[in-house]
Amino acid sequence: MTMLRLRLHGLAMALAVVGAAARALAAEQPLITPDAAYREVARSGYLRHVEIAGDLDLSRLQAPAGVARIELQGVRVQGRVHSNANGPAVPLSIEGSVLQRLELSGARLRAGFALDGSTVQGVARFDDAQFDGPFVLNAGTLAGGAVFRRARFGAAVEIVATQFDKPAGMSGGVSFADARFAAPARFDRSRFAGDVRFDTSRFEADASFLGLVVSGRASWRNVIFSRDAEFRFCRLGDADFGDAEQMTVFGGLADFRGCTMRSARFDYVDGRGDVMLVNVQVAPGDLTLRQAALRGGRSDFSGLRVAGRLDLEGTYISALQFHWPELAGALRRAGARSDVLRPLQQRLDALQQKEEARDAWAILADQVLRERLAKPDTPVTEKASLWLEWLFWGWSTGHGTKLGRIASLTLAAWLLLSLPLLLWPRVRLGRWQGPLSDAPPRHRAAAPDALKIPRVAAVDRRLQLLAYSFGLMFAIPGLRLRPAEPLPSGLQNYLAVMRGVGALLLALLALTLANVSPVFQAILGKVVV
Amino acid sequence: MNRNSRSRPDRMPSRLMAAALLLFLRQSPAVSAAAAPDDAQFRAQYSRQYDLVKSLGPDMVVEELRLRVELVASRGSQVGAASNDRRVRGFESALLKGLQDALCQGGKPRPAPQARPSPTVIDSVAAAANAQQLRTVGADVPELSALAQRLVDSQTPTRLCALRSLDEVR
Repeated sequence: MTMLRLRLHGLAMALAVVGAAARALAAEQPLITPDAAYREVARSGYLRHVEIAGDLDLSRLQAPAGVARIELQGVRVQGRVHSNANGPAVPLSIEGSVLQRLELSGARLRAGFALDGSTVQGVARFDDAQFDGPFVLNAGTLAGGAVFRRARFGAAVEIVATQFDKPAGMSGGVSFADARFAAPARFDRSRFAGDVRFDTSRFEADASFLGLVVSGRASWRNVIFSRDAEFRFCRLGDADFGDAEQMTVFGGLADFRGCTMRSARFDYVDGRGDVMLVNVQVAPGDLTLRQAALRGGRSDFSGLRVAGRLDLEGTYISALQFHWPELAGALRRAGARSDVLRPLQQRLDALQQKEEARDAWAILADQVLRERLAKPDTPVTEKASLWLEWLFWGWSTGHGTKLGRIASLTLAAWLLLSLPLLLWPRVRLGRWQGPLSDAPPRHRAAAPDALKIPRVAAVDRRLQLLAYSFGLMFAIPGLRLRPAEPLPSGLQNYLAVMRGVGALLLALLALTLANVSPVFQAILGKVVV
Repeated sequence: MNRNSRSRPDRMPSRLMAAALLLFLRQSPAVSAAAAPDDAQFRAQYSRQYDLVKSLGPDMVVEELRLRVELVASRGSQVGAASNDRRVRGFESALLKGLQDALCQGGKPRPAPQARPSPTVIDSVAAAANAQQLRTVGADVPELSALAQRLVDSQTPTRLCALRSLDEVR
């Protein structure tokens, strides 16, 4: 065992020494001139672990015959990397390198360009550049800002897992404004520390922004996504997809599933394919889709959560899937009008989401009443009737949708209205002895001779009074309890009022029950048929 | 009819014009903001932006200026015709021309005003914004003025007067 331990210890020591030597070699890269770099590339097609003292002109990198790709690995460039004329004739790949500045403004690279696992310490400029081959930025860091304004990409673009830092003194904005992407473009898992702007850019093929992180404003105003645009699990600050003057078009799928945004504006968006806002979270800001037209085969808002307002003014949404409780609060905060709420309620009805449709109906009916009341030309009499409608039907029953509310209200009214009866002194109750058809109306007093008035304890008397008031208010059949004469006229009138209120509450309860209970609806249906 | 009542209709067009001018000034934030460089809030926004970009190279100041103008231009236009890119470019040209008109004579520099914020720079920014019908709001004019001022300060007067476009700023 001791020998084995010693051998393992020795092996570990040897590995540590080898590792340290490798690190030392990597740290001390040979310093060469740019001309030497051009010569080495022309000889072998690659450069490895060297430091270039000066500017590197990509147009002077020429691969030897038979070499299909120029590779720069572990290279450190002290000056700027630029291209005075057309870039190399074969694809250029820069891996694990550190560049001081990358200035490809207005350059044209005929073959592919790849920057893999590399860092650009200063600014990276690609404005007005044209890339005829594939363009790759993979797992790198652009620490000094980046500009892609008016860049033209003729082949696939992969800006994947790349970090765009916010240099001190800058807003950290990265602009892809007016860029053209002729082939699929991927920005998956890239992180922008500041703003990113794709305004007026054109994506001729699929665009993918999976897991994209933007800390500031992410703007896609006046953008045309000709094919699918996928933003699944993105994390954006303030997302902006345009407005009346700068509307954005989604030609194919617009997939935002699982995205988180601080606020999102989709005003006037033209969604020609499916729009998926499933499990999207917008907090703490608003989600607006004013005048947007989502006219694909499916517009799925299931699981959408908006902490602020959800503005759907003038929005057209085809084949909408959603859950009312998820949107109700945000719509209320937006002050949604009846022309917004009505199609939503009708859609819930069509989707057979009955309970949700009922809840939406209550909010819609309330809003309709509010709008009619707000009209300046509504006559006072109509306003009064609207108020009454709201009080007796809207508030008390939620427009025939809140069975629990009207039941509680009925119970509370019975107990409350029974209190004066319980506290009224010397009210005697008795059972009607004769046939019920000869009995006086239940709110009137009967002659003591016609009643059987038992001697009961105070508690039993109160229970008896409660039973009487219940029977009085809710028209319990076969009620024989009657108050005995003499009864003050005030109390007689009060009992009549109780009976009236009870009848009204009973009617509201019955109507609500008929509205919400499938069993009742079935029974009513049979009765009507 | 007395003389006063006769003269009223004659004064109407001038009154209407004055009202229209007032309305224009009220609705043109670039002009109204530019007219208030002594405002404490304006000065604070200007100073904050100027200090923020003090450490940047001149070309990066131009980039910051472009990003800021892009943001303003993306709010849309009162005329809505020109593309954002043209409006950003138009703003840059108008700004440079305005600055050179104020600070140069016959391609040679002339003494620059020392005041900060400089009314010359603010006027150039406001004029460039108005020329492109940009909807400047809030901190736009003070911050754009600070960036333009930093740009002016980063160039020698001779170099500034010789610039043909902001692309040449290094």
